[in-house]
Amino acid sequence: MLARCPVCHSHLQLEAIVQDEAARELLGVLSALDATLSRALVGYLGLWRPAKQDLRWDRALRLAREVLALEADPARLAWALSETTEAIRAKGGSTPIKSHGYLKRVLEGTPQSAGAGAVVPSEQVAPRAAPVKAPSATVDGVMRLEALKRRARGSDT
Amino acid sequence: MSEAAPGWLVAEVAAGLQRLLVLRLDGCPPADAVEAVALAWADALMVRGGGWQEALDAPRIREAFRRLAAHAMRWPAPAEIWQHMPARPEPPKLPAPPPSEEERARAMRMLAELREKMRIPI
Repeated sequence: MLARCPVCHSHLQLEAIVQDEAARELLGVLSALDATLSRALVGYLGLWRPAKQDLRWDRALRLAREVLALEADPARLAWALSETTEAIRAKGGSTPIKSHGYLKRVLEGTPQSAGAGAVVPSEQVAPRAAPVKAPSATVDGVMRLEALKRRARGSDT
Repeated sequence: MSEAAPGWLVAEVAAGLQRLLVLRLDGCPPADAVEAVALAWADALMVRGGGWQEALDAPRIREAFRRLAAHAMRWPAPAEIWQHMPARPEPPKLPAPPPSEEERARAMRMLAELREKMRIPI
C-alpha cells in the first residue's frame, strides 16, 4: 500500500515500513512521544529530505535521536522544532539542511517556559493543545541511556 | 572478582538497551532504572565474557543486541545475549610459505608423469 507523507511529501510504502528495522524503530520513537512533539519532529525531519529522493529510514532515525538528545523538555523542543521548520520554509525552502545548527540556535533563544503555554505563537506548534505532557517513560529511558553512553565514552578518553 | 566494565562496553550495552526499550516489550524496566540496568548488564558481560577488546568485540555486541531485538518476545535477561553473540572474527591467516626446491622438483616430476600418461606433447 503506497501513501504520501503529508509533511515531507515522500512516498510511504506501509509494507516496507513494517519490514524495515529502522522504520519500525522510528515509528516506535515517534509513537512514544507527545503528539505535539512528534508532529514537530516529523516536520523538521522533512527539511533533511534530499531534493530528488526520499530520506532514508536509518538516517531519519539517527536524526530523530540526535534531536531528542538536544533538549530534555519536550514542550521546549517541540516549540523550537516548529520555529525552525517555519523559519527555514519561510526562507524559500533551502532544503535539505545539513546540520542541527539552526535548531540549536533557536533552542538557545527559547525560554524555559516556552512549552508551558506562555509563548506558543505558532498554530502549528500546539493547535488548541492540552497542556504538554511529560516525555513518555520510553523516551525518558532512551534519553537517560543516551546520557549514560556519553558519560561512559567520556570515561574511556 | 572481575574487573569493572570499560566505558566503551557500557556505551555499547546502553545503545543495545535503547534498541530494546523502544520496542516496549513486556517486563521492560522503568525509565528511572535503565541506567542501573545497563550497568548490571555490562557487569554481567564482564563476568561471563571478559578479555573484551573494543575493536574486535564492539561490533559483536552490537550485532548480538540487534539479533536479540529481532527475537525477544519480552524483556530479556543478560544471559540471553549469548545466544545471539557472533564469534570473534578470525585473525588474518599467514600467507602460504613458498615451495621448497624439493617440493618444486616433486611437482615438476608429477607434471611430467601426467604429461607422459596423457600423451601431451611438450
